[in-house]
Amino acid sequence: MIEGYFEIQNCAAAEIIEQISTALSPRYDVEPQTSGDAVAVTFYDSFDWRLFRAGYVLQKNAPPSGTQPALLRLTRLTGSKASTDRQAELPPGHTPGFAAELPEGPLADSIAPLLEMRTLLPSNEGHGRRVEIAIRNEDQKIVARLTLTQIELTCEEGQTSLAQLHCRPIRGYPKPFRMLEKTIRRLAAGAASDRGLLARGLFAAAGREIGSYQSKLDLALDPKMTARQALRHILLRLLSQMQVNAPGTCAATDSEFLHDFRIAVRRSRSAIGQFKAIFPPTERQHFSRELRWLGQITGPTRDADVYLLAFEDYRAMLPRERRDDLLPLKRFLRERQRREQRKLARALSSKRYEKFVADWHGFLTDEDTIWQEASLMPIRQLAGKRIWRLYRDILRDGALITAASPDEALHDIRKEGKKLRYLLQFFDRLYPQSTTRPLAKTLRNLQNILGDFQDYHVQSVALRGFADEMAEKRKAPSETIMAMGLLIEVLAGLQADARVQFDAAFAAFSGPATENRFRRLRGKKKRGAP
Amino acid sequence: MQIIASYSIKGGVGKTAAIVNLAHVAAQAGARVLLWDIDPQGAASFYFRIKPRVKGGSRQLLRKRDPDPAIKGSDFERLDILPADFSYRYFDLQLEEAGKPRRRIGQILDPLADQYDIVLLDCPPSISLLSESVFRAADALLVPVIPTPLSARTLEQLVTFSGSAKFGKAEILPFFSLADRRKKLHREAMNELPAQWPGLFLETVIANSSIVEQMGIRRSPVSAYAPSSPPAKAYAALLEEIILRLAAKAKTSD
Ligand SMILES: Nc1ncnc2c1ncn2[C@@H]1O[C@H](COP(=O)(O)OP(=O)(O)OP(=O)(O)O)[C@@H](O)[C@H]1O
Ligand SMILES: [Mg+2]
Repeated sequence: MIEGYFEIQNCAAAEIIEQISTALSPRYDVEPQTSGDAVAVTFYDSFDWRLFRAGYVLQKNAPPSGTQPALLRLTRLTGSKASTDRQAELPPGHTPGFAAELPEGPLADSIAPLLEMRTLLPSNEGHGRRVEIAIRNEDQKIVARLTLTQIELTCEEGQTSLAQLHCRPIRGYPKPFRMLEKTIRRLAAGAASDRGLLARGLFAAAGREIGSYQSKLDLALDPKMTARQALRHILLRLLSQMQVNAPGTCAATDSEFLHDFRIAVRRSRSAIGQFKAIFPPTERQHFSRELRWLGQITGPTRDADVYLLAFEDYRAMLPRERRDDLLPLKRFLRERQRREQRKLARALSSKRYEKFVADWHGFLTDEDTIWQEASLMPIRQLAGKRIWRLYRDILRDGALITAASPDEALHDIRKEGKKLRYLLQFFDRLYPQSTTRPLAKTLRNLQNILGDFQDYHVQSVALRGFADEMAEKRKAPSETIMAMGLLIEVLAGLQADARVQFDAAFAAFSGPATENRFRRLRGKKKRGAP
Repeated sequence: MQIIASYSIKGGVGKTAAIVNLAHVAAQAGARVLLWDIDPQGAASFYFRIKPRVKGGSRQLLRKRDPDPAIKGSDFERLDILPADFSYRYFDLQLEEAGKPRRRIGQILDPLADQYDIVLLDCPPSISLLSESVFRAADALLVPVIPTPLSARTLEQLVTFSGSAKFGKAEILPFFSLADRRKKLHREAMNELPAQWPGLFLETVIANSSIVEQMGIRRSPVSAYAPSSPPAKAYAALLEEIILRLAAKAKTSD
């Protein structure tokens, strides 16, 4: 026997209770134990809807006083069985934010791996009443329980009311619970009912449509589009990703806003760079410069974010007794992050940024500007060519790698790989998934290893720089500098490990199966097309 | 999992009242509690409005050693009841049949160790194989003593018996129950008995109170219907003392 959870739209609480009471009588009495306590309901999710995408909603029920704890409940959206639902008490004055700040327990354990570094953002607050209801047998013994929360909501269609019903069995009394659940199920089927109704309503009231943002592009390109049409579509989407993430980036709500902002910038630069031949040259140069500028002003903050996010991993790389020696580094990074963040926020509120957004949007939507001739080519053809070209470049450069090659040679391959990866992401929909999926996977494997290789390298260089700076400004005791030295050694070891793995990943990437798939992308004939 | 049994050779001394109220107080304090109403009269089950019925009765419990399906949730969070059953009248006989009778009560409760922090047993007033099996399983025997000279004799018997090899490890925890300070006899006994067994008696006294008497009409623990009444507080204090004594015992036996 498992708890049940239901939502019913536009049915008054009194009526629901009446109906249940009629269905259960004369064997059981339905007895509201309170006259209805005021409750404020808020839902939470990350900016990119991580809980929702994993099939959950997180609800907070707060008593109006603010001096009592609120109840947090993580509910599965699919199915009515609440077996996987999790609850926790939130102390008064606390708001859900980062996973690490949630009260410890199964709820936090379920949320943390989904949320990662993101913070929870609230929906609007819904106000309603909560009634606790006891189902009693002929001895007046409680044999099942029901909580009914009724919330009034103003939405596009006008005023609506939503009831949440949460029924719980009492051990050893399966029959009355089954009757209760069956009755509620029948009521819920009669009215419009869906476990996410209330969440949708309250998020919509806050101007956020559930599931509306994700960092994944998923562009709906059509093979019949010209290069110009396709690139405009891609770049407009990327511009919108920048705009959507800019406020959270300025406010440093969490580190992912900046991360997604930078990815949109980098993807835009890459798209322009790969299709140089289609843009009008003057405009192309201007906007490339502005995008490079955006990359530059956002870089230092992202770097500090990366080191802060990796900080616990760094600590874990050291012997236990040396781990706390690293704490001054965290303070140093925090200060640096704050300083850079302020600069970044200023840059994103500048006239220059505002003008860039307006001009770039104007350029992309303007029908009159003349693009180069190649912009009229079908995108499928052009994209296939570019992809093939990058693939060949990587093959050529990768084959030259030996144990004696300098680090830079590997970094260059990574850069090319990144460009190729962006292209595959942009043009995903132009090709059958059975071809693009395995390609994306082998490329991802290769890139992960190259990424590790470079990241460890960049990190050791940066840490050495930090250590010098900290020593010079006397910001850290010598133990900290020594711990950082140890850390740099560990990172160098990891870099070497990544290098060892390169050969195998490159072999997989340069194999005949991958080649055939790339050939298929280049092929002029679309397989299976009419 | 701590096992605490209320026990007295005498009837009507407040065993059931104590165990029912302690169960509620402990669950409210956050412990996961099971009350086993092992008395076929089913008074504790009655107070929780639960029918005194266990499918298959004591025989099944002894044979299967799986009390789980018989357990009922009470009206209170974290507090479950293993109800009484009429068949418990023949517990002695069945213990005899099952063999190794003194180990059996403990064996029935063993599988519940993960589910509960405290198991409370409400025993019938008798000396029997059943009570010996309870002694063996229990960490503590809670013994209500009405403060009269007569009570000294019955307590004496129990203390003597606790010295025997068959008794087990249970701590004997007597406390004054149904006490009435207006009665000279009670006042005298409350001075003399603790002096006779230094360090044995719990200090909390459960006074004779009409609020406790109402349990029969309310069918509910005192702390549920009169949470801030003196007897509710007294039962809470009693629980605290019991836990302290058990903790002290655990320390010395380490
Ligand atoms: N502190 C008290 N004040 C007043 N009445 C009490 C008190 N404790 C118990 N009683 C009443 O005394 C009677 C006997 O109490 P209880 O049933 O708890 O004793 P018992 O030892 O369990 O009896 P039995 O041996 O029959 O199981 C009951 O009617 C109960 O309501
Ligand atoms: Mg009794």
